[in-house]
Amino acid sequence: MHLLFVEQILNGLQLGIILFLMAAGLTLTFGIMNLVNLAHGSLFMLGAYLGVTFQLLTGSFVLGFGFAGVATFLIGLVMERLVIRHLYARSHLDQVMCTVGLVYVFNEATRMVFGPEPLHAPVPALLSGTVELIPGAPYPAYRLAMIVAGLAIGGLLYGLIAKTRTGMLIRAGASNRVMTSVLGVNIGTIYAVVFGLGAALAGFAGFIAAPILTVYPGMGDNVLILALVVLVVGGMGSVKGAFVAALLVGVIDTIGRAYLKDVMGLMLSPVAANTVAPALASMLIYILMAVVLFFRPEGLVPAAGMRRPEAPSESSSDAPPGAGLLARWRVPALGLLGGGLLLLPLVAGLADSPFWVDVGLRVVIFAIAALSLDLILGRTGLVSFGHALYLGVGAYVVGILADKGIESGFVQWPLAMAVSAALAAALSVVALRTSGTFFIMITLAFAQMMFYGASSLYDYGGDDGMHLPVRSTFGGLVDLYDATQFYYLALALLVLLAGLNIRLARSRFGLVLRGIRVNESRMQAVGFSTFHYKLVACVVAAAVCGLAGAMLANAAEFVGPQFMDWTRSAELMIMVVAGGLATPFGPIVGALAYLGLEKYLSDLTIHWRLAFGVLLILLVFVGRGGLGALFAPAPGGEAVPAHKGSFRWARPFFRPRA
Amino acid sequence: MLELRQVGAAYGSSRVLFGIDIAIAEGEVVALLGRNGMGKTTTVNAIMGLVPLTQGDIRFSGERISGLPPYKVARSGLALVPEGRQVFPNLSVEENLVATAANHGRAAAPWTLGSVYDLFPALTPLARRSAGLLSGGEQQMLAIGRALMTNPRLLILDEATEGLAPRIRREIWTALERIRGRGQSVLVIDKNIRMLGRIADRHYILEKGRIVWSGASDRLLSDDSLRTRFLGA
Repeated sequence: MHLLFVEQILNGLQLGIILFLMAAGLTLTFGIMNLVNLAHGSLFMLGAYLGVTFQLLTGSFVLGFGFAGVATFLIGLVMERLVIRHLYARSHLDQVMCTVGLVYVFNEATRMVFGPEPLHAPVPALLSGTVELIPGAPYPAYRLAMIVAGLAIGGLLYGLIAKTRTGMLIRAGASNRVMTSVLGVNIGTIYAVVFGLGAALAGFAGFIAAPILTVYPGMGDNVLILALVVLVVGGMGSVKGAFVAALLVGVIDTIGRAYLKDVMGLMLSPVAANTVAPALASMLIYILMAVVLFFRPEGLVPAAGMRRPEAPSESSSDAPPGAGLLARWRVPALGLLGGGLLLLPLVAGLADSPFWVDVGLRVVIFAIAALSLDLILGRTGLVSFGHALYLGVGAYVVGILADKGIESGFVQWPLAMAVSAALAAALSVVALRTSGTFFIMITLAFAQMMFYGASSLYDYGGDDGMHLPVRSTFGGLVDLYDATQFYYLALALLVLLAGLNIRLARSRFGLVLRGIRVNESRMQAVGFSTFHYKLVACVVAAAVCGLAGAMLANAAEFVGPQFMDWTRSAELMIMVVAGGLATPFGPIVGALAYLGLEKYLSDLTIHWRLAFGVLLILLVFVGRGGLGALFAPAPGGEAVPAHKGSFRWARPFFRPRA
Repeated sequence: MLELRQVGAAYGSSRVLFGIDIAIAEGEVVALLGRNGMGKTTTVNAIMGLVPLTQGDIRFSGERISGLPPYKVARSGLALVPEGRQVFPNLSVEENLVATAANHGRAAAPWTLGSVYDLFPALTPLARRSAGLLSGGEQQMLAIGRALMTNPRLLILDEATEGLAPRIRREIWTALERIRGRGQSVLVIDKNIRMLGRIADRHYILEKGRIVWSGASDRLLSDDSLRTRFLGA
């Protein structure tokens, strides 16, 4: 038991070291360039693939190691030059969208080049044995070497930053970018070097982790999310914080998975412990993160002297290119959209292609989900990167109830909304303590937490998810097994919700949300407790998304953790941005465009995600404002709706406590 | 050496400078005067490339520097001691001095850590202290030292004595006289006309984005109407 414990601690340290190498790069790019780089996980993956390939080619582990670092450094430089450099001054939303596009590109390119099968990474012969650190407890030499190598790289990084002139300039640039360049330093070069350095660290991490992980396309994404947790726990921009937090997260995660079941077995019945412990163990670090954020929103070791992270505010005055270009086609276009949606089952019947109705149903369901996300993302300006969480929660509520024999949609659907809303209230109380980048990361982490939680629901299919035994029943009113009826039910709900959305946007509540998006501190200064408004927006959005989840479970006749995968959250975000933020029809257009494009591209090639990633990057750079902007009224002419005053709305609902 | 010709600048749609002409010769100390909000700092920012020009151009030793990014302007031989000092708080005093040190102009007798500490002896015992922990006066000395360490041909000081205790101000002025004594060209913005009259060769007065008066020190000091009209003192 004791020896095993030591071994688990070492395993935890080793995970911690990998996370530190990842988080160090992330924290540097964030602290210095104020950049959220979600493509950092891709560099981890590339380090593993390129390094291992070179190792297999040359037969030398050391050469593979060197190649992994050099190659990812160069890839980082190219990436910075071509894409990342243009993101520094952009909003965090743009940064997220663009780097997600890069993730698609890298993952798919890797799959194209190396194939979908995992790559086997050999352990070098010298380190293939075991070491007895403590007599009687053999520990794999390679794993020990990983810890040593990681610490050595960390030490070198510390030396570079603390002792060299480059390190001084990196720190100077982090605290005052303008002053650094005024003193004759090309800050662009510093940025490029920092980015390349972070890329190389990720590459090293990927390579040394390769023998103990599976090397497959997309392997970096999970590590990335753990690294984001490390970043938030440690304090963004702080390398020291990243080190402390990485080891903490690594050890807690490993120990939790190893011992939580035993510990809980002491208190709970074995059956209960067996059910709860795995789920709780996989959620442990996210709970740690929530606790840290609640008590120390700046992280455990806040970066000294760094400027407070603040989002570069998107100036509302610059209109996207092409805005209003098709303004006069607005009414016909919307008419076409509405008519198309309305007549879809008829047309599908005539064309003898009944699957169109299923596709249409998916579009409508995702339009509802996107519409709900737009309430917080578009209208309130909160970049939530975990909205698919509620899609999953809604689906699981339906699935679990159906499994228990409660099949009525009148129970299932409202309950799906209520559970989503309640969960959103709890999570948002923590998440809304943060803002900007922190908010992006914490919402992502919460969604990931629930993803792992759902994956551990072994009674309900675990990783694989579960088949929905029966679709929701509505007392004979609507039969969801009839595709047309289901479709029209969903469409009716979409129309209702879009109508409510328009109503909301014109209400006082909607105007307050808009005020928060434009300038939150000013809203606070004029007497609104913005926290409560944001909280309500998050809860409402979650409830609506839970409804979409309930419908999605019925449409797919399946419930699984992949409903709340982070790529699903990204998809929802893409739909909203592609369609146009803060417009009632934008999310609908976006859902149609996204799912349509996905269908079209995936018919064309299995590597459609590559093209999709490129499109996403282009969307950020050329397509600002989304498709909706094309049809929007000409810029500048946005009519402010007449305020229909009633006494009830005359005072803020929520005022800051005195 | 430095020549501003018909320089105009704006922040977004609000224009701040309307065609300014300033010339500074090698070895000269020139002062820029004016009330708050008249465009002094904007002029400095325009010189350093921090604010884009809307009209006119800026030349330094005959080379056009307007339109260049700030780091290139700095490398051509200008150094700024900005308003509010802006030292790097997360670096130590010595690191602040060393980090951006350079000698692009190949000065024969470049500033060194030793000569900066000699100029500001108060900094010597603080070398390892984090710059964020210094007093305002110490930070000001550090900001000047940091600018000198880039060995500029023209040193620009924006409100270098603002908000400091009288004793510290005297130290700064004394240091400026010593810097001047080394033949350093300086463009200085300050409110203390008496001291500027002593230290500067020529003066420009800015009002609402235009140069309304320029002349030598004796004329500035002898003409009381100037002070009441343009400087509010």
